[in-house]
Amino acid sequence: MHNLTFLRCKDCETFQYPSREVCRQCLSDQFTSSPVSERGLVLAVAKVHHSLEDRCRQYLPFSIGRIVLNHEICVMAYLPPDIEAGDKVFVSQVDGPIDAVVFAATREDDYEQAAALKTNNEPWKTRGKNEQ
Amino acid sequence: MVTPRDYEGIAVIAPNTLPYTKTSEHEAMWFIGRTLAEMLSSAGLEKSDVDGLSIASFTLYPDTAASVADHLGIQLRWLEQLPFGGASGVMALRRAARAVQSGEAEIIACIGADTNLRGSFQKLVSGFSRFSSAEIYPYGATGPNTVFALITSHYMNEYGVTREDLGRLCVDQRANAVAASQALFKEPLTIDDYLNARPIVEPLHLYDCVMPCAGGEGFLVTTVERAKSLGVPYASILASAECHNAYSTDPIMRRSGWSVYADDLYNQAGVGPKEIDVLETYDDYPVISFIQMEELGFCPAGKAAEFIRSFTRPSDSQGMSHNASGGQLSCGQAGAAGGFLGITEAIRQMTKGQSKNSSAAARHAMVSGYGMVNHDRGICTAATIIGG
Repeated sequence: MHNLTFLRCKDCETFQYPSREVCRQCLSDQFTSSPVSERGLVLAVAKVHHSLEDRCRQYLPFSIGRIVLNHEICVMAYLPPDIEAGDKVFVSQVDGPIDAVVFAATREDDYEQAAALKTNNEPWKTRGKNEQ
Repeated sequence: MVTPRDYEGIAVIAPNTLPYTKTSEHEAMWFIGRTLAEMLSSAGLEKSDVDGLSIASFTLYPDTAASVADHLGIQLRWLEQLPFGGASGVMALRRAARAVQSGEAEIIACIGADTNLRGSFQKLVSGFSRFSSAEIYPYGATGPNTVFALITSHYMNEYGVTREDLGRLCVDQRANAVAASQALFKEPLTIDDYLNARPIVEPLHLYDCVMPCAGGEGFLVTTVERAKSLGVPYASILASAECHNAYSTDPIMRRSGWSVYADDLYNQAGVGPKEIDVLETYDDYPVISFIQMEELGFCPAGKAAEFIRSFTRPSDSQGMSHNASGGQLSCGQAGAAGGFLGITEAIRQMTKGQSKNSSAAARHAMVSGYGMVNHDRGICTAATIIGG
């Protein structure tokens, strides 16, 4: 599995997410790209039924979560329908539905789904049983 | 810590609400100008009497407060623009008060106003800030709804709070809106209506979300001397404070700046939570009103669901009412006007007889603001206690 990478301050080693040009801790402008484990914990889950973009509407409803990774980096991530707060997940980066790279997560013990994420099996295209 | 000086000699007058509409073909400048016109008319003032201006408006861009002075033909010796969303109203109040107190200006018009052209809301949220454009909008393009659905879900899980608990707030505010009868949503709301409404971003459903609309809110800050010479009722500022980017390392928002200064507010005002007769929280979402109540000392963390059962109607002479005109959840959110709605209503409640939904017994009001969801939470908070 490839690790995720995030910006890290060269001077105080604080991770910066979202990316920025001045360190949020020490105001340095010197950064490296540093690997972070893909393992995360789901803090909260929301299920989207309404979107402002046509490109997302075709996939409604889908789940989005707030995930905390190592070093207290917190990200949004698209989730498959059965994930709940408290679940452990693997997080990857995929091409999102509206022209941006996004995070997507699968259950930590679901190796098949995690591998499928690498070949762009986007979670927002996966509806729950009762939606099909 | 330095204790701020009091607000002696300051009067807050002429609360005005320009009626809200769901959409409008007018520009933001129209809403600002007409709100000002109504305020001046209600106070018996001329435009040339105004020497200070404080503006908050999302849709004013590319114009600025300077453009407002130009468009409306006003010469000013004090000018300000506040890009702080729902905290702008309280922040405008406290800055204007100090300016008048120090003699920098004598009559400052504070206005929050926005239009709602078709398509403007989507444009606003997709380009709201660098962080949210890059790291929030691509997740379903929902505007702030997903951010606050996650915060709501986390809060519900942490404290065992149900949808029905949150819905009780919406039902209560709607009852106030019905009595005040100036809100966009004036039909009574039952808890069944709330629970059965369509989902937007679960756990948020229709009545958890404010409706973006067009409108304006404003008030004037001047001296007590001037207010008396005009013969208009006025409210006094007893305390105010602000705090921004508090608890930024919390992985998900569960608290914000209010708890940093709540004790100072009450000490400065010389009253406690039990002496507050009207509470105006910034209700972009019910959970945020709950968190404000808890952080501002009305109840312990996680206990707002029980606390709100104690609310009375604004016209009752006992107890405390909340969001007396219905709040944004019933009135709609006219952009930056949402941050001023609580203040204009609190001024009405404190200056007897200006609202049909008020009690002559009400002596103290608290207004709380929250704004600027730069990434995954609001950054700005501010609060004030005013008296009648």
